[in-house]
Amino acid sequence: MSERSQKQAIGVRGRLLLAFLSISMFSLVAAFSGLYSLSQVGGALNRITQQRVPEALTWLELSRKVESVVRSAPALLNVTTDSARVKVSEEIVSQIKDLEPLLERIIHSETEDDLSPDVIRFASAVSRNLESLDELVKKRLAIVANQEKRLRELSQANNVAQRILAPSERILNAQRADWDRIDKNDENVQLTSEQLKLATSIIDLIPQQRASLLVDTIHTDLLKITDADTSEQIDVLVFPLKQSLQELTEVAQAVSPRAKRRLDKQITIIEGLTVGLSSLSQIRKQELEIISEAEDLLAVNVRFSRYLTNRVNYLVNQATEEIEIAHEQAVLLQNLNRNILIGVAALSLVCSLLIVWLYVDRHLISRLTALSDSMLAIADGNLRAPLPHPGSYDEIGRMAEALVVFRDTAIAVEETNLRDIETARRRLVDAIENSSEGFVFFDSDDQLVICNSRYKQLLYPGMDMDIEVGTKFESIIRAAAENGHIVEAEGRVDEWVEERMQLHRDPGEPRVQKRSTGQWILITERRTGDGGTVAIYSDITDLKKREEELTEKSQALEQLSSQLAKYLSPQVYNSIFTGQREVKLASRRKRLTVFFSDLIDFTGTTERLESEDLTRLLNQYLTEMSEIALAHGATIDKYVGDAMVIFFGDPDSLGVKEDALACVSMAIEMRKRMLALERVWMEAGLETPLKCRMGINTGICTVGNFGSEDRMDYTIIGGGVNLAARLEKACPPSEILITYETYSHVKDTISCQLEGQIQAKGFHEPVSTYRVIDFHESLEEDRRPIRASSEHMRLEVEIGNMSEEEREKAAKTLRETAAHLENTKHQEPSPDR
Amino acid sequence: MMKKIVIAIAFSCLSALLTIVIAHAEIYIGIAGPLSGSALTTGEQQEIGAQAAVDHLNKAGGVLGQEIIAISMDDACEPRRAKAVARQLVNEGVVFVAGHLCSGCSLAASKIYEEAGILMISPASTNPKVTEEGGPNVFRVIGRDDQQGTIAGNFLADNHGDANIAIIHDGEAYGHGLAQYTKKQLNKRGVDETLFTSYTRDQKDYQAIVDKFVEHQIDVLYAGGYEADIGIIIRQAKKALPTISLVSGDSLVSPDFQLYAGEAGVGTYFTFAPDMRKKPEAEDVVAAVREEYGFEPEGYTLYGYGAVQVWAQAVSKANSLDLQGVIKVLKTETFDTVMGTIGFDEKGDVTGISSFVWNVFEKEGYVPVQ
Repeated sequence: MSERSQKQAIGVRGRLLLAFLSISMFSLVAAFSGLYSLSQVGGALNRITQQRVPEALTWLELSRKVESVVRSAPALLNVTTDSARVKVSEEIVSQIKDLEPLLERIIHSETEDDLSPDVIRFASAVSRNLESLDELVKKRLAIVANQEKRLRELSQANNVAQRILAPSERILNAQRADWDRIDKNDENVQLTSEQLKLATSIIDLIPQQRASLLVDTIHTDLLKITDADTSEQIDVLVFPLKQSLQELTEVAQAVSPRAKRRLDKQITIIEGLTVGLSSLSQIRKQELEIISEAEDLLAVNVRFSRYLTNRVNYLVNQATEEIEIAHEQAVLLQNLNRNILIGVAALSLVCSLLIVWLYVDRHLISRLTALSDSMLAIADGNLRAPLPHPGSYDEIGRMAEALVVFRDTAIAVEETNLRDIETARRRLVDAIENSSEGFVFFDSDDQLVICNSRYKQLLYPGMDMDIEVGTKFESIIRAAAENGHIVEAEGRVDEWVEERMQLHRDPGEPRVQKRSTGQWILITERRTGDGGTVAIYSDITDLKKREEELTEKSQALEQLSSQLAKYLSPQVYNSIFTGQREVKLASRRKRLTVFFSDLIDFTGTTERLESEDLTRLLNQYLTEMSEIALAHGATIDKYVGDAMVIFFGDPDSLGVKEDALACVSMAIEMRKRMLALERVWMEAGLETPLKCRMGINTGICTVGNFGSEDRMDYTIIGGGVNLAARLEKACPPSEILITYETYSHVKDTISCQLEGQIQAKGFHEPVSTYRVIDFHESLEEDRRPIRASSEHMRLEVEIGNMSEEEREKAAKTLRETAAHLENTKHQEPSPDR
Repeated sequence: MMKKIVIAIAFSCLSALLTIVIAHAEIYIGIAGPLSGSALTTGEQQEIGAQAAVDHLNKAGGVLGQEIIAISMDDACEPRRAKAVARQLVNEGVVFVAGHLCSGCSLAASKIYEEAGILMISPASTNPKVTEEGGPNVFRVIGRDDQQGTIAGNFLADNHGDANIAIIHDGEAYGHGLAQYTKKQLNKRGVDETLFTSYTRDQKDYQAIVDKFVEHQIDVLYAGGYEADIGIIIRQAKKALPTISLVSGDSLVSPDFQLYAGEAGVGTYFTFAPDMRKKPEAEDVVAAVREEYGFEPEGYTLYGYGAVQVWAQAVSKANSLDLQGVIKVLKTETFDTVMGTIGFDEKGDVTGISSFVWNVFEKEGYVPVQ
């Protein structure tokens, strides 16, 4: 046991660990060598990034800041107002303050050559310079202010002087115009005293014009001085100015005394601006001096800026050199490192291969492969395959032992299963064989799998073909068809086989097939889940025979009933044959509209006709009338010779009013048709036309089956029926008579005329009758009756029926009524009256 | 450590030296009138008067303790240029304008001042429309042409009722207005002028209009316009019609008229507001202007001076430069000026100054008619 557990301790896990550890050792060696070389390169980079680069950057920043200070300084020089000066100085101060931390950083940084004292010297020099520059600018601003004030004075003096001299200019112009006119009029050289006076006056004005010109020149020259670039230029400009001034003073003597007083004052001002301490030339000279001083100061600043730039360049160069050295070192190390890594990688690859081949493969993989081969063999069903020897007692050994046990168990189970399957199969075959139906099963390739003997016996008795397992379905049926077993297939074997195959492939409902033996076979085919087909064949010959007998009987009955139907009204026929109504002696009371008609003197008129002609004439008449009646939904009760009894309201009713309307409409259409028929008959040779008369009544009737239990009639009886018959008898030819009740139902649609009362047989009271005229809408407008009604008013005017006298009377009554209504229109009807 | 201290000291000194200079508070005002063209002399009177007032006020410590800076602008008596001048003054940020001189210019500029909230006191614009149509910011310290025209109309009817009278004008607001008012009064008095016509300003030669006078045998000429044009016209007219006499309005109030007219100007009658040089209140100012500017403060000089005085006093009384406040003071209070004690009515017309009086040019300048 102890020996086994020790073996287990260095099992597969231990061996694998050992293999992996030896491979990892080589990787570790490679990683260490890589790290070492990286740290070498990193050291060189550190030196550059932590020392050289920051130092160079600080100097660069300082240089840039100083440059910007130096650049802003000339802006100070160019300012024109004090507030602008303050703004620019503040900006410069803030920039200089920004320099402070940079300088500190440089002082603290450790560099081999100590440049700091130089830097400080220059920095304070720049500060001092800017300070003096600010002072100078202040002075300059004061000078500029002074200059502006003086310029204002100059401009004022110029304006005043010009203004003093302006009137004379105007007068001169006017006088010149006068002079021109004189010249034109008079060619005489001798001037009149008037003209002399004018000439003198013009001459007097000329010095004033000159003075004006001089003032203008002096003004322009003085302005030029303020723009002069050097003091030498100023001296050059002052010289002609003095001369102009001298001349102006002389010319001013000739000006009128009033103007001269003011002009002298202006000349004094201009003189003051030209020469002397506060003259414009002196002011400009002072300004130029200040500008040159300021420019000197700026030059110092520029020198410092340049120094800094040089310094930065030096440092940048130094840093570049060091970076190059570091780069070379890094390349060397990189190469070395690469070589080491390649060696280590190659070595570790070789070792890994050796370990895998010599150790892992021999001790683990080969055994596992043998085991898996045996397992695959068992899985394929080869339970007798050889099994590998377990070998050493590790995980693989135990797996091999377990496989032996598994294989033995599997052999035992297999044997038991085979026995069970055989039993089940035998039972199934017995069951199929004993069935009274033919049974067959085709697999998905349509090859026979199993069938019973009844199948062969039923379908193919005496067929010389081996029906056995593997026979194709198609070859079986083809053989059957060719042998003439199938009635359907006679003479068209191929088409039938095609159809049969189609049905076989896609079976639907069970089908019946007739065999040549006279047998009827019911074929039931079903597709199974695995694509096969199960077919059951039943002999239904007896069943089929009985069915045919039944069909024959049923057809005979149908024929009989349709013959019978002609003797009955369609409604009655329908309600009996659909089973809506039982055929028994029963009746009920109902409000019906009854119609009676006959042909007047039919017998007398037709006695000379041949029997065949008479029959044809009567049938034509009755057929035409019946068609009209049925189209209106009538129930035709009976024909009695040439007479017809028709009623509406049973078995189906649309309502009493609608029935009455349908009946009268039918009667109108019949009358219309009769007029046409009359002509037809006349042409056919009938001398006297046959006229029809009709009577209609609406009233309570008893409807139902009357007669004996053996023979009965569906008909109507009652007073209403009798009245209709009486009306028909009382009716004039080609007219329709209706009773009051019918009239009341149809009067809205159909125009009728009161015919008078008749004393009907069997009725105590005389009956009011109405003659039907036509539909309102078919009548002409002026013959249409006028009807109106409200709660207290009823108006019915049958214009068509009125005589001339009656119409006048009616019109008079209506006019009086209208007039009366008009008069009483505004009187409220009193409830007391 | 030492280095650091040195640097610190250097920088702190520098920043301390750059100190901020506080700017002086100043009030800008405008003086607007013709400093060139045909109304130059009267424009100069107004400018010198106003400038003198500003100088004297600044010597006395300014207004509200602030120095007054006067910006003088030339509108050449042309309305279009007056608008440009007004816009420029608005840009300069003035709070008050003494001017304009010509009525046409005052009318044109007053709208711009009103929009910008600037007060305007004219020392010389006499056309009634200036205050009638102008906004609440418009005032004047001179009478109106409806008064002046009435006086002139009466004068012509009284003295020259039978003569051939010509009334001419230069088409400007002042000249045309004055001529219209004069004609109206003359016609009202039952006298019809022989000629009513206009002329163009700043011409070298007026022979064309003189020919018209000759054609109508004009005895008396009434001219509404500015001194230089009228001076040249009468100079040329007298040559053709030696007996013609001239009557005109307040624009002639300068000895320079005689400069233009020469001897032809002698005997010219014109109306002008009272000569303020004779007022006892004006005595010191008259002497000072003569001394400082070498200028005789006649005509509009003291009116210009007075306009600035009125403004300064109103601002002091309101104790603010706010326009509405100053307008309220101007319309309610009275002011002691070189023109005496004056005030303003609701329209902005001056009260406390008697209207127009007659002057006549003699050889040595003009004198009041007794």
